[in-house]
Amino acid sequence: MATVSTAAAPLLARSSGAEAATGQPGSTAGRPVDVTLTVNGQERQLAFDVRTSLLDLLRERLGLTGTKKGCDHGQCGACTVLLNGRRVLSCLTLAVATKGREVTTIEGLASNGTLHPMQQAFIDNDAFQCGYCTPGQILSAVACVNEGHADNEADIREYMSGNLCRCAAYPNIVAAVKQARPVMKTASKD
Amino acid sequence: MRSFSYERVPTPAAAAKAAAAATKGGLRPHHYLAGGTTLLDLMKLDVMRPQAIIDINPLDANSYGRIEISQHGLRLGALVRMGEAADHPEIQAQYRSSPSR
Repeated sequence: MATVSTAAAPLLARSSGAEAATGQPGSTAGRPVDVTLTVNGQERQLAFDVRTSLLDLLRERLGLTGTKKGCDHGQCGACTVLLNGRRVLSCLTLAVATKGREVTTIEGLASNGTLHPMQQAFIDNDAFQCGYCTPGQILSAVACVNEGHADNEADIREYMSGNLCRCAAYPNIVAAVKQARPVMKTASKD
Repeated sequence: MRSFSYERVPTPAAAAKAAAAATKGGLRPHHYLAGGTTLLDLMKLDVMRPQAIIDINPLDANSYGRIEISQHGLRLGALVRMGEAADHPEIQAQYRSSPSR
């Protein structure tokens, strides 16, 4: 499947001028860029079109389809991933700009077959219905706790407000974050 | 989305140099990329059409990621994220647009 970004982009900008002037090869329009980044602890070396979003790179190139494409315009939060531990919208992140950085997706949360406390809490609290927003919700919730923004229900609602759930599982999502928070704090002390 | 040239720069001087080089090379307009939320969205919609993107994220965050409030007003570093600004206690106290919450 063609990505949204490339399908809509027949035009290649003029390319040689800036490269010649700045002496920076590999950054030129219309030519693939070579980028090394770390995805879920694994270093990946990839060449791709400069326009590729981190979301399309994860889904179309790396087969990590746990990260969902909802609106593709930064409004729904379904594509939320962690970049160096900080939550970002992967649909509005240029993959080329993640060079040398660490990306964590929903596929990278569990360790040795054990679910992350937040994943377990979402199951325990039935914090989803269709599940489409869930990977983004969980990544956002992990960051929300790590940021110290999960001290009470009002904070959880405020700092999770970038992740929409059209099934309206919000009460159960809040309950899941409340359950996972002390477990995550305990785990980080060990 | 239209294609563009992309360059990462470590300093403001390098950013200015890259911008001048882009202009000289016929790559107009150029845009600086920090968070990119608005820029990337508008590029997808073909509203913004930069031919050169200059990524300033390698800049020193200690210098360019600061939020400063003084008697002269509010100063947001180029690397300050929207979430950081929204979460800043003094911004919340002094620049609140609505009385809710």
